[in-house]
Amino acid sequence: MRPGSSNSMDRNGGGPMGGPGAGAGGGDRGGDRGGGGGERGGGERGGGERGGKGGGSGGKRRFGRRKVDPFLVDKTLKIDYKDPNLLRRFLTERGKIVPRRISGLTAKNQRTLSLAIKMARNIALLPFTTITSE
Amino acid sequence: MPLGQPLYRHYETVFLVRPESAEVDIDNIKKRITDVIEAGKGKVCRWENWGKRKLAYELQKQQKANYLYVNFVTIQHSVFEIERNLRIMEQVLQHQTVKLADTIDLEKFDFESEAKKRTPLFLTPEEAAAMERQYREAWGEGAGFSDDDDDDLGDLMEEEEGR
Repeated sequence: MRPGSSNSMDRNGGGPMGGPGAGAGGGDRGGDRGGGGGERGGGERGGGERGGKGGGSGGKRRFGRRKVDPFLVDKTLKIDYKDPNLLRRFLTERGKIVPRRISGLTAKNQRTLSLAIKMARNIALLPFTTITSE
Repeated sequence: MPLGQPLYRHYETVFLVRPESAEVDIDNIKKRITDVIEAGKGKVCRWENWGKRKLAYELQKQQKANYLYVNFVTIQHSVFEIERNLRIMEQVLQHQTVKLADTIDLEKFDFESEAKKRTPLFLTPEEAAAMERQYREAWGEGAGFSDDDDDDLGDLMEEEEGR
């Protein structure tokens, strides 16, 4: 994924010089695709990316509904490190543990869960990161 | 080490065996572990073979491995011995032992019900499907954290991308 996206960044990089309209388009795409190229890119390109982000999310911070703890809804659900199908619901695409403010778990359940995820990672049931395999 | 009465505890071990290893090899490993447990006057509650699974990440250049699970009650020293054996065996890629309960009374411990239990990875397809339904219900419609309209999650993704 990395090399592909940085290539596209380079191609888009020619855009801003050609015309303002094309530049905005390139910035948008870069924002969606990944910051790998953006980090290395010049100031102009970085600015374009930020503009793309603001437009894409449409107004920062919406007050979303507080998610409920599914382990309170269904008491028979157990947090078990041997159940990767359950635990995977609490990982982002990158394999990071979803924070409590988003998962909506109780503090206690979040602690148990993060421990279980780490144990599952030890025996390769869950990834530490997906960056190498994708 | 143990003074007076040896302490029995409840443990479980998961270990990963090379995907190409024959059933005989797996049986040998199982026997070796069972022998160690029984040498400590412990008892195996149950074995589970989760079969060949894809690994979440490569281990010693392997993409897949046979997962084996054992649930047992024994003294602490047997656990050291089991782990030492697992480390020595080249067929074993990875292992993890977890203590389930402290201070087991061998007379009172319910070995039968423990033998009947099954871990989520050792279910029949129907049971697994039922479990999947259960997850869905607890989450309401659409399971997991999709990046649909959740701004918070969007922020998180952006944080990740930047790194």
